[in-house]
Amino acid sequence: MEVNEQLIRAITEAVVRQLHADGAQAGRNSGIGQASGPQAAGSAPRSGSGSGQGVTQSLAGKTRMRPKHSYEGAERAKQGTDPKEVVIGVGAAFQTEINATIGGIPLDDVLRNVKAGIEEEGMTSRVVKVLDTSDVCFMALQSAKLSGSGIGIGIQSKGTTVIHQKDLYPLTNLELFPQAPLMDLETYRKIGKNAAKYVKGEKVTPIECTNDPMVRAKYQVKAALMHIIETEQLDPDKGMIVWEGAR
Amino acid sequence: MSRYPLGLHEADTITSKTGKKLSQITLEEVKRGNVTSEDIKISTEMLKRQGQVAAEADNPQMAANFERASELVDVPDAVILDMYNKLRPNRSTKRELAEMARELLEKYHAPHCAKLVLEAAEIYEKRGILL
Amino acid sequence: MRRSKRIEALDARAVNKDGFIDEWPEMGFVAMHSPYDPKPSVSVENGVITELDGKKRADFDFLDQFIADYAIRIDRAQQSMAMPSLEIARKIVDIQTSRKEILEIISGITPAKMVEVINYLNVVEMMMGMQKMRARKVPGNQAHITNLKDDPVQIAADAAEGALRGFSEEETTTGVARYAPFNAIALLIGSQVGRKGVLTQCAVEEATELELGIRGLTTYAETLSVYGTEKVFIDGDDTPYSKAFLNAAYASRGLKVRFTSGAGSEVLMGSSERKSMLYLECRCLYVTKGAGTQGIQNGSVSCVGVAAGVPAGIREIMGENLVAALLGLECASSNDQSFSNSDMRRTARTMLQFMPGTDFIFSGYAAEPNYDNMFAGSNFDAEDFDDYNVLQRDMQVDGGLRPVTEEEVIRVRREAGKAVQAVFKYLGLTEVTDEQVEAVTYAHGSKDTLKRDVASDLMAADDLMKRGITGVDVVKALAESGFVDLAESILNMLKQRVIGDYMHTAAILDEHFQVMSGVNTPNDYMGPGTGYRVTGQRWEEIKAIPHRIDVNEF
Repeated sequence: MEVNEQLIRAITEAVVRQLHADGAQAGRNSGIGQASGPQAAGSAPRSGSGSGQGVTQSLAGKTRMRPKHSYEGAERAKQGTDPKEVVIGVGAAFQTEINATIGGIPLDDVLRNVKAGIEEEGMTSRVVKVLDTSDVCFMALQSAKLSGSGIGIGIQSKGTTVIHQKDLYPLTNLELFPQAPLMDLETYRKIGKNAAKYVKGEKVTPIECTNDPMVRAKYQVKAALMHIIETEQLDPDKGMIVWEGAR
Repeated sequence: MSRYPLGLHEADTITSKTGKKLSQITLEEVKRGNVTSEDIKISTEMLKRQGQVAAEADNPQMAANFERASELVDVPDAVILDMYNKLRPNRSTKRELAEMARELLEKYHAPHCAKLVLEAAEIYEKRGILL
Repeated sequence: MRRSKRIEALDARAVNKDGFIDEWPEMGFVAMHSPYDPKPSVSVENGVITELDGKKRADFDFLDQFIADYAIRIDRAQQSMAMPSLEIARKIVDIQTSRKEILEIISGITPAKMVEVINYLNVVEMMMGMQKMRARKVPGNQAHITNLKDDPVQIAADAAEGALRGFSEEETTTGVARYAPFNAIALLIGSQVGRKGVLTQCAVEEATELELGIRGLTTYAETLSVYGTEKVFIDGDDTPYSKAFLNAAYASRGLKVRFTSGAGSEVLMGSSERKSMLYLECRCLYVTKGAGTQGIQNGSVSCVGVAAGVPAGIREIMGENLVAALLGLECASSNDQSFSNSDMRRTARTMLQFMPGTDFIFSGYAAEPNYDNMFAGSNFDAEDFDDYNVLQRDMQVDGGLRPVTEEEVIRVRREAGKAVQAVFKYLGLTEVTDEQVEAVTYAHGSKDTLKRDVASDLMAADDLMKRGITGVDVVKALAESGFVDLAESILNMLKQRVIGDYMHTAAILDEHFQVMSGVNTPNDYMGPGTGYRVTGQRWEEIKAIPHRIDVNEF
């Protein structure tokens, strides 16, 4: 710590020296002294979206969608060593607050099919619940890092899924399935199979993309609400926990 | 003072990072293998001139960006990619960012970029996004 | 209850399939103004902003600090903040007040003050503001060029047709991420077949996008995303500081760059800090300005389903486009994402940008059928081309496109396909067959094209990156394969990055590779009789839609 501060100070001084030497501005000299801005105009402008009394629902003051689930005593997931395993990282609300994807597929079936796909290719699966992020790319990357093979799958409770590899950038991936409403169980099974094939180092043909250009109109508001449910269940101190939730 | 667009008014004075004149970057030269990807990169000098254009257009923020960019011209592609990744959240320790600032300052003579990195190191520490 | 036939008919209308939700500020479902938005304020001590919108420097998050240190003109803050928000709002609409004067005032105000100003404007006033504040004199348009199969031949053909139809910029992305270099090369080649000087980009993960740009496989970058809260910024795997560095990195290679932001992303990613969409977007735009980039793609963009779901959401979208223009940024004003099942509603939404004109009315018009649009559908697609051309003609508005003939379309699509075939062969990539080129030439979308060997394509794409193939190799491949004119065009595109003129605000290139930007062709609108008017050659072009009654043959 001490060394850091000294180093920073030394470099900062060197930067300032060089900037001055170059005749450039080191700081941002503005020429004005203390200036306090005026406060907002007496009455803040009204938004044109006033909710007529009794016409629209008042949600003001509501701060949660669901009560907080306790993960007291949950077992922290261990770093894997098995080179044949694929770690499946599910979302914080998975099988607890949310039981079906945005398209209505039961999450028990989703998990069963992904696992079956992995096993059909002769690899093994391990399920963890990710409690420190609800971003599907980070969920998948963390799962990949935990996995003995370096391959992981992230599945949000709304069904969005990513296959990841431990040494890739977080926001890239091996395969991404962003349009959760279009997913079926066959696709989830193929995801398991492809993840296993990446473990085996085979030449993998990515699962064909699907696309519904009206998906945003139909589902985006619901997706936002489901993501809020997932995000409010995060428990960062718990990290990633053992989750064999497929009943 | 530069006359914008420089490509129209001052084409004769424009050279690439490697010192090639614009008029030397031709299809014939490409076919002969005399133009490499390094030859189609911008020079420090051109970035400084474009920075002046931005400053004259009352856009000091853009001028400052071109200033930082001019300092990065000679930083190799791989190093730039690596530095960018290290500046992302939760990728570096404070010491690593300080070392990066030092490298920018001492090896590449990039004080404005070094300053940005140092500021990042401070605010990242305050906001808890260092390793 | 016995059902009313009238209500049943209404319930069945397309608009009722859209998602709507009441305002809920605690979760960020609020467009223009949240009770939790801060009040405007600024304090400056020794040339440093020590208080911003009610927050002390010690409490700044990384957005506040970046905005305070880089975005706001401290020398103008005192004077600008003293001007009532209502007065600023009126000046924006006033035809006697110049764009330059507005830019100077705005450069000294804070994000919360900006929110106040925008809240005073109704949508017509916002459109009047945009008509004056748009950076470039002539509006423009941008296309999305993608397909479900990531078929590079189709990308080239659609790029060629899109360029022919008038788009100044073309953007691709991938279904499968590893296809990126193929898509980028196909777009680069195809665009120049349709019209010389069209700029191209490939929207993928930040570091990959930078690498493609540095190699000269793209000619600009757009998807540098910024977010309005710290939490979401981190989920986006960046900070204002890393983004500013990235911006400088692009400029150090001579590439045009714009950032991307938009209402609803913070809601969708579950962390809006109870603020309005407009306030959060203002923070994004101030970060963009502070980083010194020339422009922004905004207008809710990919989260438009959320913004459009709340009251006044479409007004907010136009409001944030205007904020971009007020900050002197090039505005590529979205319209690039489907958000409504109703044709009436989706058209109305686009009129807000179409009528006043923005630097790019769409920042992705799907130049393929929407089922092939890998940005999950644009607001307008290839099947709307003629509708759009008629709208331009009806209102005498320049929306950036033009009518074309079937013969031209077939010709440029075939040439683009053949050029990609030749380049792939020369560079030792996967084979493109004559049958593929023919299928794509006459195709509407990927349902009409042949299957490709995806696994082999991906291995070849990986190999291309490993071999360090660059734009210069593409130029050489074209030249050696007999596509001399095309090779020359791509070389000219690469030379832009040596010159750097096109890095300035709202720059596009004409067919002679000459720059038209907000610097040399600024918007000079000051009321009736001034500014850009659709006349002459351009008006003749717009008038010539297909399917006109030929009076001589009647």
